[in-house]
Amino acid sequence: MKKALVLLLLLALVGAFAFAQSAPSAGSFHAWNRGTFYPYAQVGSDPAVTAWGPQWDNTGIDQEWNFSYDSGADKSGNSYGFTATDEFGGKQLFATNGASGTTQWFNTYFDVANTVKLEFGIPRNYDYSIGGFAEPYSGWETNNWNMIECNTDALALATLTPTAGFKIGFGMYSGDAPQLFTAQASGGALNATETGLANNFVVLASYTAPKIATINAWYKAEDQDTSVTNDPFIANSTSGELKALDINATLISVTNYTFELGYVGEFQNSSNPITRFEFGAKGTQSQLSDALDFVYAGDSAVTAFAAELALEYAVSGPYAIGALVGYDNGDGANWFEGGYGGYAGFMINPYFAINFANGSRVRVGVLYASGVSSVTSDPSNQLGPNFPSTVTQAVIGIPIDYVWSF
Amino acid sequence: MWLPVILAGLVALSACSTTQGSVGSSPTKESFTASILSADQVRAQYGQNYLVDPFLSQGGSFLGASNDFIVVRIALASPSGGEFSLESASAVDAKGNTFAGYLSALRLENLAAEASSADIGGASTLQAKIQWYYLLSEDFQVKPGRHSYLVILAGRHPLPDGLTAHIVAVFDGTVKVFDLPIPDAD
Repeated sequence: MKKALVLLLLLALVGAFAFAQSAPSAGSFHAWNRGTFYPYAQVGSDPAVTAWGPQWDNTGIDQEWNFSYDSGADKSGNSYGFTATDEFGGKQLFATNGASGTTQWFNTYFDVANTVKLEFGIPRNYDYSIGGFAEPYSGWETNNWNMIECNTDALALATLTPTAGFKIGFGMYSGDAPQLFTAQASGGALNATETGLANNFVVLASYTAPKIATINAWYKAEDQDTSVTNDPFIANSTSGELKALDINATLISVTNYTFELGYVGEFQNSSNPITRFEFGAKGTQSQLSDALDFVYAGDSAVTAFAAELALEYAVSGPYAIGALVGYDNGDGANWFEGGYGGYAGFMINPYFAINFANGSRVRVGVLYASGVSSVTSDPSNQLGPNFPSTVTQAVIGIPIDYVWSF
Repeated sequence: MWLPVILAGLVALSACSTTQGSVGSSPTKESFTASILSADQVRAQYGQNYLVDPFLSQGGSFLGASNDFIVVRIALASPSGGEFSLESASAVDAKGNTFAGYLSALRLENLAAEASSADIGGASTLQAKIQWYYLLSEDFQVKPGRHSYLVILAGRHPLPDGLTAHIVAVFDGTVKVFDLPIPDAD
């Protein structure tokens, strides 16, 4: 099996050089910083709780920095690069992943004529800043390993694109790889005693029918302990081997609209698998952009669902107004678009935004969430707010967030 | 088990789809043109910034753009369809020196994925726009009707003035050479 894989990659390398094209573009370095400042009050509690930092972080402004470099393609079409992200907000700058420290992701890659791509790094885990439940199922993206939904400290991934529109990939997790700046924490994301290939791998495939649809699928086996919440909506309650299958499709045959359908099955507990369905629609018509998302997740005990509508209207120049409206039944991990995860019940967030031509953006709004939930937060994964117990309070906040390209 | 459900959903959604890449009514005679889009035209038609518009070069407040994009629109009209082939595409000066080269769809998708890491707009939006508007392959069969495809020439910023986009393409057996003057940067 391994020999066949190596042979396949070598053949692809030969083919890649044979069909490589000249594209004399320069190497490019990019950096962006995004953050959220979020004064809020939980109006239903006794006494009312107020704070100035993001509710899910509770440590002041929450932000992350990203630096990336891409060499640009040489005459043979080869390129290399990296992307590195560090998230912190009033916490230690360099510390172990998790609630007490910062979170870091890193990915370095070498791309041979866009045919073979070799990647290695620390994949992005679930995080509030993924921004909306449209993302977790949107499939395996070139540099966005978070789409694989892995809870691991290192991942090596080989991607083969034998022809335009078709990709296959194979990745191996490492359960006990060192962190960038500190040693692996005790009881980390993976059970270090089971780090073999059979317990830690992912296979992926993607096919695009031009201007019709893209279908992505991955299957993974991942060993993990109970400290990790893998599913973004329902916590896994057992430790050990997790096997998961994701199939999602994006329809692109309607001009200026995309429709996404996704299915995820998680089989960590064979007698009680988690099933998740997601649907998304995004569109743009002149000055109006809109998105609708719906997610359902359930096992034998829990039925969680959420829906959200996002609208934004470009008024004039860089100025826009918009609103997010959503509902979450409170049995899941409480997910709300725009980085304000952790709420349940009815939510509404009208806002004013400035969109700059270089990709920077500032958004200021008011958020109300009725706040009824049966679950508490999961600070180890930074999925939800730092609520000490069951959420029953309504919340009024003034979220101010930005992303700035340098 | 759920795959048939997903596929059935796709088929249902496809029912309301338009013919891929088609523009306007059925043509009665063949035409084959190419033109350069200004940055303002690209912004107006595909999105105001590179987080939602994959056809704009990426640049920040301080670092600026590393590469400049020249966006060329190729328009085809044919009552019967035919084979299309992009033979070469580059930006050259009066002496024939090359300053910008053809950016493949795969390369553009990679760049889009890099930009989408900021989680605004999302990779799926960018990739959908590429799939819909960009020239996905250098050789393919064109169906009858009107079609337009974008092609990007990418070169190190800043590109010198006085360049010409030199494009050689074949459609239905007809070879065309386009030499389009590239407007100087402001």
